[in-house]
Amino acid sequence: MSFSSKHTTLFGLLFLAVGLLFIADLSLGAVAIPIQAVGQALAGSSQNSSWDYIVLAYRLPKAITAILVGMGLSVSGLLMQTLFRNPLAGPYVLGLSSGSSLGVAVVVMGAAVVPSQLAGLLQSPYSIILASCLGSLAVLVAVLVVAQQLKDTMAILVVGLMFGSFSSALVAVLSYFSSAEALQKFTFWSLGSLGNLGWDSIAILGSCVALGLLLSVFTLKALNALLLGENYAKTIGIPFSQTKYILIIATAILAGSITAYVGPIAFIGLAVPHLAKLLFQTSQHQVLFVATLLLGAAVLLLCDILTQLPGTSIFLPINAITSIIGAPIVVWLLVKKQRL
Amino acid sequence: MDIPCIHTANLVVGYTQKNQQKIIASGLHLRAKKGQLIALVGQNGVGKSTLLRTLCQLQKPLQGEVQIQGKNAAQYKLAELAQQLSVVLTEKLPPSNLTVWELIALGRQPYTNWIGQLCEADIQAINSALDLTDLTEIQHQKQYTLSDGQLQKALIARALAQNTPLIVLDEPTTHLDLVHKLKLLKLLKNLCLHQGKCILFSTHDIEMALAICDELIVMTPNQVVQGSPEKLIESGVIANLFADADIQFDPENKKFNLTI
Repeated sequence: MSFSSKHTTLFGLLFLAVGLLFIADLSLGAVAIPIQAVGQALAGSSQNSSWDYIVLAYRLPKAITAILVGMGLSVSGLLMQTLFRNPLAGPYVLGLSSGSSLGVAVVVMGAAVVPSQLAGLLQSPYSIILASCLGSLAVLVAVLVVAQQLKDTMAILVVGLMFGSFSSALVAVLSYFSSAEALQKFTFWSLGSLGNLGWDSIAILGSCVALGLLLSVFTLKALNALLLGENYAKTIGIPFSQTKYILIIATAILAGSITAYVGPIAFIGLAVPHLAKLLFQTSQHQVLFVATLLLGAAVLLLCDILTQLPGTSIFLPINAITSIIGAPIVVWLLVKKQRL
Repeated sequence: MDIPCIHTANLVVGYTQKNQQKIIASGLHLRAKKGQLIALVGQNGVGKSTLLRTLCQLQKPLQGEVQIQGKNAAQYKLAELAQQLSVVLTEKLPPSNLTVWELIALGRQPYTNWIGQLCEADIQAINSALDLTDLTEIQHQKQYTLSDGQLQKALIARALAQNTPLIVLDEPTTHLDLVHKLKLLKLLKNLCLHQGKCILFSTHDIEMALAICDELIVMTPNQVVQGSPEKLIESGVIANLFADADIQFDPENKKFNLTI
């Protein structure tokens, strides 16, 4: 794929920004570590073993998680906005995150309710990610089925909201019956955190995100056709149903796996594709895909830096930061660009 | 023997609702050849769009088949069909940042590779479509800044870039003023004359269609008739198109006279 020189320049700048934010994310935090020391720790030639430990065991996995989450959520938002022909679609708004929450709630809190043989099965590390993906898949399919009955694309947002409320209600019922311990576990999960992942979890998350992104790449051409609507897409040779299924699976894998590991994270999937469209001034999905990947990574690294107010030991949940930054951006976009 | 671009025999169009077939029109024998400009006329709600959608494989015929270049259209792969038939619909475009150029470039999708990369031939086809439709000057404008006439032309240019022998348009002249209607019809006529396209379009501008088209397909609730303007006027099909005493057709001047 060839990009125009303006786009190539922007890609270069964004790539640089991701690199700088990555280093900043490793360096800043409750303990400020000089950049040279970060470099030494990464190279394995560090003199300071506590810095070494902070960087390698805590901040590096967290920064990598931030990049994976930022890329995955942003791309899933891009896919959904085009699929639903709705500029305000995103994994959080359409209730996918709630669906994932329900899946996770069943695994975490349902263990108390089901027979013990089944409970053992629910404790396996893969069960959370599977339940989460299935949860988001279920909500996505439900929204899509309802969406086909609706002519008004804005009504889809309300449908997403309703499915979100419905899943939340089921979660509330589950939590009412679950043990205090399981409830606490679920509550911590639902606050969202980038920092709790070990390398093995990162490997699984990374594979899921890579799979989701790979599937998305194969839909880029069809996504461009979908900008004209479903019927036009068919008349220029795009097999619509097939494309739809790939998009659904890709989105469910991305949103589901990410939510399973870091909790429901709001607004990234909605705001980042818009920033990309605003910055690159194009509808070409080949360009937007790369732009969303880079911007998503950059934005989430930035949010992660802000969670640990530099120099203090105050730590804010990532979900709060993304909402504080994301919600005003979305409102601003709506006001500034009447036509999204 | 000339294989017709589009041919139907005993076609029945309509739709299935709750396992009940609703027949819109049946026993359709239609054919359109290379270089022909054909208008589909009929009252609102008589089923023009349903017929066009069936011809374009956007919905299934209830009976019979649509042949495109001598082959059953249902047997084409989507991408192959897209190289035979391009379509301009009435539906509004979803909001997007597409520029005129990008919009027209989408017409090249049946020819591009899996990621949609445009090659030299694609770019040439796009630029010549821009040229034919006089859109070169506004090629970098966003889709949502266009007037109705410009958008209609851009969509037609997209169909031209698709480079198909057959083009089907659903009410391309709606929302256009007299000047732009005439320009558009002349453009379609020229495409038939000079590029050998076969163009089928639905319209409510019957007087213009009578003046400019090679043939008309007249759709009424009871029958569907295809023929040259002269024949249709002579046989009184046009005069009976509107079953309304206040609208009288004047065969001499090929105009409708209204009693107000």
